[in-house]
Amino acid sequence: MSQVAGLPLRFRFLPLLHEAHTRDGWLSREAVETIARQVRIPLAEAWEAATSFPEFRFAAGGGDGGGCGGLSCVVNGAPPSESVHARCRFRCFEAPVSGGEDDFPEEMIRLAGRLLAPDITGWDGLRAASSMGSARALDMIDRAGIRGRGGAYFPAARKWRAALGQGRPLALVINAEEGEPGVFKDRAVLCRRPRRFVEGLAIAVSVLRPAVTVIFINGEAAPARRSVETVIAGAGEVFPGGVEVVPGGGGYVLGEETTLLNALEGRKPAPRLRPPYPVESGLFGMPTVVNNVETIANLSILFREGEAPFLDPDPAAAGGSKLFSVSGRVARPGLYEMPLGTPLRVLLAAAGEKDGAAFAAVLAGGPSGGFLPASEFHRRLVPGLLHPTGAVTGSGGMVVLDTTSDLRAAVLETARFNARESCGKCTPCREGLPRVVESLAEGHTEGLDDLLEVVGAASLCGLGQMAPGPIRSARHFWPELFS
Amino acid sequence: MTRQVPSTCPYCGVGCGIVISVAGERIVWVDDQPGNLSSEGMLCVKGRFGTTFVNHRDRLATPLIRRGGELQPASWDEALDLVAMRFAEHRGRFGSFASAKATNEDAFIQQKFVRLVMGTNNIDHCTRLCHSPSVEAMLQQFGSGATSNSYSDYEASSCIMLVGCDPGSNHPVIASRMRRAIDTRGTRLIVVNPRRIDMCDRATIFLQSRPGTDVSLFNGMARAILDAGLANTGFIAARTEGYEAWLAAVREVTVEQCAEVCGVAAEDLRMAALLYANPPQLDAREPGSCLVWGMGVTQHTNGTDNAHALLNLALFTGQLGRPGSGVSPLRGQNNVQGCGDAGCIPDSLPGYQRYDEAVPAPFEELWGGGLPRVPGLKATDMVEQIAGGTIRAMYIVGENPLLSEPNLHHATELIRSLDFLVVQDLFLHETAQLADVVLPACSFAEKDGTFTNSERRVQRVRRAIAPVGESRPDWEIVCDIARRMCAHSGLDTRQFSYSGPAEIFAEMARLTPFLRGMSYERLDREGGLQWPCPEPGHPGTSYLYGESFPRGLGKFVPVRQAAAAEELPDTEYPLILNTGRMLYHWHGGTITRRVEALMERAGALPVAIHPDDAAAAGIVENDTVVLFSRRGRVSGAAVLTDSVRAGSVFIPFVRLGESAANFLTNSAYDAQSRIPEYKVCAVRIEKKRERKDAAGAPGIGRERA
Amino acid sequence: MSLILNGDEVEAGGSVLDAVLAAGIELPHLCKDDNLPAIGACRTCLVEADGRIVAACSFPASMAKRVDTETKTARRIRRGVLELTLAMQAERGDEGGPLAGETASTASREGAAVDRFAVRTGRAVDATSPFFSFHEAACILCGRCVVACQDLQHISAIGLAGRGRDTRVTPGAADTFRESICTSCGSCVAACPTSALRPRGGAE
Ligand code: SF4
Ligand code: SF4
Ligand code: SF4
Ligand code: FES
Repeated sequence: MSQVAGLPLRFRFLPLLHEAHTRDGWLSREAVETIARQVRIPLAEAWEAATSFPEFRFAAGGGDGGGCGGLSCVVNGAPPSESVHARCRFRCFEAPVSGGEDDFPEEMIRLAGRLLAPDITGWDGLRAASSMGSARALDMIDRAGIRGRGGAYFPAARKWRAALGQGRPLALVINAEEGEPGVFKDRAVLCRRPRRFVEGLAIAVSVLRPAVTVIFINGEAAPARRSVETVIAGAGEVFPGGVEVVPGGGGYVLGEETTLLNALEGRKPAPRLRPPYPVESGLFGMPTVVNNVETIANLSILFREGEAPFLDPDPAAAGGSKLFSVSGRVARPGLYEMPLGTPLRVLLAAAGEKDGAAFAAVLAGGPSGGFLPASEFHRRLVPGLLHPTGAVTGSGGMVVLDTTSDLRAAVLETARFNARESCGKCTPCREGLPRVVESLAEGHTEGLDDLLEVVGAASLCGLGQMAPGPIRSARHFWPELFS
Repeated sequence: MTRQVPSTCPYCGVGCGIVISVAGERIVWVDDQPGNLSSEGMLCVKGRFGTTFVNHRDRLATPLIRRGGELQPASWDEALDLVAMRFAEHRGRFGSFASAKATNEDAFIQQKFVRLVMGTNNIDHCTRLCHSPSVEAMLQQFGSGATSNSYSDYEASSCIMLVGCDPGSNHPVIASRMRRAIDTRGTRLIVVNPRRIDMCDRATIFLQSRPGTDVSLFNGMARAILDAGLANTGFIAARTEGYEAWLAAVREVTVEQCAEVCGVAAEDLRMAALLYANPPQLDAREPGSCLVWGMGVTQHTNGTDNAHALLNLALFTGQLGRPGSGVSPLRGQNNVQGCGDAGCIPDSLPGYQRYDEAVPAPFEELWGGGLPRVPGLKATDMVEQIAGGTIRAMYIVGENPLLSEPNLHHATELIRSLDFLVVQDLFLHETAQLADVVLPACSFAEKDGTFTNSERRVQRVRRAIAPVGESRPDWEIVCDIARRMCAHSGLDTRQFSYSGPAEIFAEMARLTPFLRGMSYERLDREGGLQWPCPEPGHPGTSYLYGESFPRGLGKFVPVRQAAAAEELPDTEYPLILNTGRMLYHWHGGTITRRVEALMERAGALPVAIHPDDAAAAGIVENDTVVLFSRRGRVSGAAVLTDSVRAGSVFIPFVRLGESAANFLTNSAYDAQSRIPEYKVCAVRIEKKRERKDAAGAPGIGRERA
Repeated sequence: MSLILNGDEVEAGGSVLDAVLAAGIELPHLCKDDNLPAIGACRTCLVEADGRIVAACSFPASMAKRVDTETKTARRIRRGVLELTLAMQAERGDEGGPLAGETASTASREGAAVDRFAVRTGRAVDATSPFFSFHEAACILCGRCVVACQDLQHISAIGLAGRGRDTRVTPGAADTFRESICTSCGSCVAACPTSALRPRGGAE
């Protein structure tokens, strides 16, 4: 068994689990224990970790949970799914969806900017970055104001400097898990523009000089994985230290950085306490930079075309373009690349009404975001909150509802989703969210606001903290909905 | 109303801190002690759940005197008068075993009594049966017989080599601390053991060597280190002597030859050697290696040689005298270190002060009497010499030799033939059943005192409940006997009048240079202290030999592989029997058999056998099997496991039912240390046939002939 | 380092919880054992630090200037979390290890209602060990037993299997403690703030 230089054996845990799961279709106790021994993970710890990934099954047989029960599919007529194995296939543009994941169709790139332009050739951006040297390259990233496209919009240069400032060998982790229903941009980039991403990654490697570089990718996203692996294999000398592509077992909560790091370390995928922050002590204690696929791909643009595309006199719009995944009740679902700061209505107009039904609402930012009614469509898609009740630009997922949609069912579905995706570590999220679902389903909302406050304020990580958003926003804009 | 009493665990040599919760003179819960520097808030099953023996219905409530062949209750005065009288008659033919389970104060008083009142050095304790080869070898090579380092060194090391021990079962909290180092720092682990122990799960290298081949193993490692140019030449030049002679012995063998003798792959042997000599840098700390061993090294006819071979390796690589390195024989009983420190050994006074030159003077002066100068008999010899008449009366405190001696049938005959036997203990165990007088002693929970653990840490034991029945602390009983005898011996009875354990400890500290800085007051205030602690302001010592060895230079002692064992398998007895311990029992089981939960968990003697051997004998899992040796037989339940080598079987030496391993073991001894060869003997295994045969089950006679 | 705690200036080094307890102020901390690292799971130690609600057990005192334990918001949210916690327990007795009564007494001190939510709990009982038994109906999934077993003893016999509402305390992948690699050290029992893990038979 290959051991990644300098990393503990347990780094192999998740890949080996994934391999066994792919081979057998499920994980037996014996399989988990054998792998645990192989990578020296104490047994209970290994069992905790393995059983916490939603995509792993622990009994032979059984279907795949049927069709997708995600919001985009529900508003397009799919029945909401109660199965624990129901999961988004991230082909929300084809909703209602059944079957597994597939290659991202080129025609679903509806509007291409610089990032989604036909894929690059050569490694000019990398060459430019390397000839500049780390310090100047960092300054350039800083000046361009590149911010994290995973949804938090944290300035990349600041994160990188904090990690480099630790003065220890560091880790670079690319989060390509993309577990938010309604979002398919990273898969699109990896499938259709892999060289763009790989060049960005090579630039990051040349600046950060990480001891280890990891791409964490959803285990079911096989087409995306194959695509990026092929390009990396062909890139040869570009990655002197190699790149580890680790397939995971799913889970929305992996969007939380420390949860992702736990998963990579063969631990239970649940959030860690902060401090320490990942830039101080992340993967196996190394200072760690975690970036999103889209963020990294932007580096390729920066070092090929300079800072100009990222600058804008309007600070809210600065930082370049954003990939928006639009799905639900629209005529042209798919991926739209538009500048940050674009008004929501412009995006919606591009996607168009479906079957002549008027737009009624948008879930902006997915299950961690919030609903916006038509009266709010003038809002500009800038980093951070779009409305105090919850809507965010987030990672750019916009699920659209029209006059034919059952808004109440949509709210319930987001609540269910969050309850199902809770990692289960902290009490308010694990216990509170199912109570929220109950209260919505049964329509007695007495005490609901207090409960939402508790879940939002008391939860350990973003999943619980933001879970009230869709409900709170819906109750704000459509007060009659749950009365 | 419950009250909490901080104390020290009575089971193993780890010496965990405990907090005893007491309600109505019964122990209701035992908690850990987060602040304890040895256990850091950990405990194992025995410490946490194993103290119910204290209130067990079998506890001796009154003294017993044998009348008309039967042991019958008697008053303390009656019993003590009788003992004092008969002991006086047997001066010159007397021997005594001290208890490594009792306190330092108990031990100190007992050796004082034996030397001053009985006029003999015939006092010993169970170290003879476990680590005497280690102690002998360390005394010769370093000048001191104690563990050189601390548990914290395991956690600071880059490599731990465990030889012939199973800390997961016998020193569970040490095992936890090692696992912590492995799991959190990446410390490498090398396991050398004929049996696959639990710690192998975390081992970088596991050498499943043949029993009794340790000399080859360590000489082979030394050869590998030599060949790789990793000898610590600086250390050897500055700190050692005898190198050339030893080197010549190592040069006689090759790594391949040694590996062959041990039954391991030469490549593994070499890798382990290089890892030990040159451990990896894990963090800012200087990399070091710890060598940790148990009775797999010592309980052999070549036990002292084995220990020498192992210590030579430490000298050769300079892996001692720094944080994160060192040599540690894991001490078994809770106070085996302290019992030796307190002088319960036949050739030295408290503090390992040998009888030369000026040493006895301060003792004689303070005690107001002369001390015998002839070294006494070692424990195993005391028993053997009963036959010749050298020993006719014995005073056995807190020991059950008729479970722990090898070749039990033989030992039983000898003990049975004594003229006068006094046993002082908690229970009427196998040996006590043969006694003329049985004296009920207090358990650890009923008295004050101190224990000294495996890392030389002296810790307080505190009285948590009132004595059970009429039992009394060992030191008090000994003092009572001694005072009755002082008059005849021209001694001042005040020599055996103490206000309490604190005063005894003060006397011991005064007479023992390495304890001189300790007092109850300090132990109560600061917690446990590690000796040497020569003066009151001294913080104690966590590792030894930083600057020099007590004997000056460290000494290499050349050793060559002798026969692996005295008795090896043949056609009649084709399997090698290996003995050891199990987590759920303590030692021979005298105590743990009286903890119901432990018995529920582990009530049958497990006989571990390799599946191939089992198949050959037609044995399946859980079959009742009988093991035969030339000396006896035992039965147990078969456990099929490839954790033992094919061709060998393993049983713990606890007595369960009528079966105890030592009915099988051989009374062959290591010439230097006189340790019995518990670890190896030849046996045959059979599936138990139906009923008919069961009548002949072995056992020990209940009455004296 | 000093901070203003409930209006008084105090010296503080470790976590906000350390400072709070050192000042003799009562604050729930159901998943924090004084002998074990912080877990951050129970969310009952919430306080207001510079206007934000934070978990005192894992918030460094050095990052706070002003901490109040008794603001209306902090009290209300703590109570809500405790009510959710109580709704996990069909058994709320204090028979058990030394800390078994902690959850119940904490909840009543904070004024949490026992009946705000209908109780929903697992009912598994594991009495296969002669030393202790496990009663799921009392377990609040605080994770202390797991940290005791994994991070203190480094044995790793017990864990929190599954995710979300399906999370359960199990003896690893084994069906019972008896069949697991549990060494019966009892550290989990000592750490449990409920009667979920309870010693058997006392000292009889
Ligand atoms: S490890 Fe030893 S000293 Fe510690 S609790 Fe267990 S038996 Fe007692
Ligand atoms: S068993 Fe006890 S310690 Fe473990 S999670 Fe449940 S309540 Fe917490
Ligand atoms: S008793 Fe068993 S489960 Fe509990 S901490 Fe000890 S080993 Fe772990
Ligand atoms: S004690 Fe702070 S979260 Fe549990």
